[in-house]
Amino acid sequence: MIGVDPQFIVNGAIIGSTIALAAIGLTLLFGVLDFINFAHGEYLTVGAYSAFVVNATLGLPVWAAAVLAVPITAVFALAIDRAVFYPLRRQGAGGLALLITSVGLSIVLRNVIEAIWSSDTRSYAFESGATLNILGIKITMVQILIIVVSVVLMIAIHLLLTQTVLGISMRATASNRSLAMSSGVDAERVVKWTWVIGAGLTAIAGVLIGLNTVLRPSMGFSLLLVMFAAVILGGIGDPYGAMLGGLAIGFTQEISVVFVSASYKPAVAFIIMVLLLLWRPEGLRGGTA
Amino acid sequence: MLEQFSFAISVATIAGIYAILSLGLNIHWGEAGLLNFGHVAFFAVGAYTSALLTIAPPGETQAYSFGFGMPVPIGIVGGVVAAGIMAILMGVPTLQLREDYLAIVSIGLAEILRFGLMNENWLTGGVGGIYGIERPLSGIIPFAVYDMFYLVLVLTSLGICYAYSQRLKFSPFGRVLRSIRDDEEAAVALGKDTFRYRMQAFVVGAMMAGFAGALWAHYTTALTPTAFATNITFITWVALIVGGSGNAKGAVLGAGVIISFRELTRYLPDVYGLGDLMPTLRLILVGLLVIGVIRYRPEGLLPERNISYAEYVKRLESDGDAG
Repeated sequence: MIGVDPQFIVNGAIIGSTIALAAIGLTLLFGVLDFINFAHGEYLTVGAYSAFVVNATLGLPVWAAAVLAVPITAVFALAIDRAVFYPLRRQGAGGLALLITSVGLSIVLRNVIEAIWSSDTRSYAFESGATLNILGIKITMVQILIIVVSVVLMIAIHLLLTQTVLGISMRATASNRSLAMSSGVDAERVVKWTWVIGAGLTAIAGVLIGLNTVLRPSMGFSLLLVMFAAVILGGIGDPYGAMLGGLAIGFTQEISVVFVSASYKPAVAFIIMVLLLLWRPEGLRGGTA
Repeated sequence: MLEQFSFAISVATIAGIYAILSLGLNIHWGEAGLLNFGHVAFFAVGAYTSALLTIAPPGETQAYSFGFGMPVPIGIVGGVVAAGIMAILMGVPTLQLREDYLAIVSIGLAEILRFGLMNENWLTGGVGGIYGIERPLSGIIPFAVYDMFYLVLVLTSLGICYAYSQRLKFSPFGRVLRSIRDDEEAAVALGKDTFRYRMQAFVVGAMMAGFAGALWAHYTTALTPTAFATNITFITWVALIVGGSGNAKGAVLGAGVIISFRELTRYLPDVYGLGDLMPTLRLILVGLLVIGVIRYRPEGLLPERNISYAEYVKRLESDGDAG
């Protein structure tokens, strides 16, 4: 990789780790609910804007806003599940009915946000801190924070999935729902917790992206494709794959700027995704999903 | 009075074009169970291809660098073929995998195509777009009745697509598609090459969308990337789901209902001071319609009706009597 500006690696790590967080949420939900949630991007937007309300409207510091955005978005996701997805599950509707519903939900949420906060860009009220210069690579304190928070959360998810009963139930439900239920796993409870964790992670990703750039009603939707690419790259339903996929997509997108115009960044993620579908549809890690 | 009349004609023309789009999507989703969330991409490819084939070579001031000045029918055929080729390219990586992969790839490709339309000025004129697209027979048909003529053209095209869809429904090809949609394993067990059937259905539906796009280009005479946002895909989906997927009549009815609703609300008197919010509110309603119909009436206004075996035998017999 000689000749590539090391700045891209830092930028890739920043973008990649936020994508990875959001993609973990998407892939966990896929595993447990067996449908691809096209409204997932809007959960990211909801997280970012709920932090904006706490930060800009209520005047609390940005870290408090970020912390509060998690329960707000989680409760929001649970309410949506109860009102929209649960009735369909109870009717015994298949994954495709849920998927089409999530597309409708995505349009509703995105436009409700736009109706309330308009399509103007917004920013959090905070000091981005000093810009450090490490070996010629520029990075702000906020960006260091983004990477640290993401890494800590990824380790936390790993511990949750491997060390707790909840995490093991989640993985069991994802790999074989009926077997898990006959072993005494309460599937609806697992579903609820998956929404809480998935939406919480996605909300944090939204806040981190908002800190690094700006808030827009379409911010989540425009990342949906990149999140899908990360999820497919790692193998659908595989949280570790989503982490790797997110980071890989982040780095590739940043490095691609050397070769193609920056407005094609999402196209780069897309092309990686299509090539992978042709070559290894089960994802880079292959396996169970 | 005259004003209302010409408004009604323009709504009917737009509804007719969307009905063709909707019939294409009906072949994808209704007949073959293909989750295409990038329908607008075929629409856009059809529109731009036909525009570039028919428009005069660009002058100094235009950003785009091609223009072949060919007759409009060639442009339309070109648009249809281009949409079909794009369907093949999209189908190869996705149609052998589970349904959701096509959903992801199609929504992605539609977005990237829109980036391309905005950025590749040499081909598409970028955000400035392409203007002055030829209207077919505009030299011969008097200006006063031209919109009427175009409506007839659109309705004739719609009639062709509708007749094809109805034939498909009762043809062996259509039956195989529905069997794949409803139980792929059974179709495979009967020795059907499901990939090939799916691909054919995908290409045919895409060609209809390309056809709709070409008609759109020669109707509006101007193309800009903003006119090809994802909303078009969603509106087509709503039309199909509300009308009743798997049923060509439903697809046409749905497009008529949704487009009339959209165009009529555009000109509602601004009583509540919501003027600027209207487009947003309209989309919220579109989304709620999708959620509501899937939950309360998944079969749509006109449910799919498959002919029973007894009816099928009767049909064969009456055909036999006639022949």
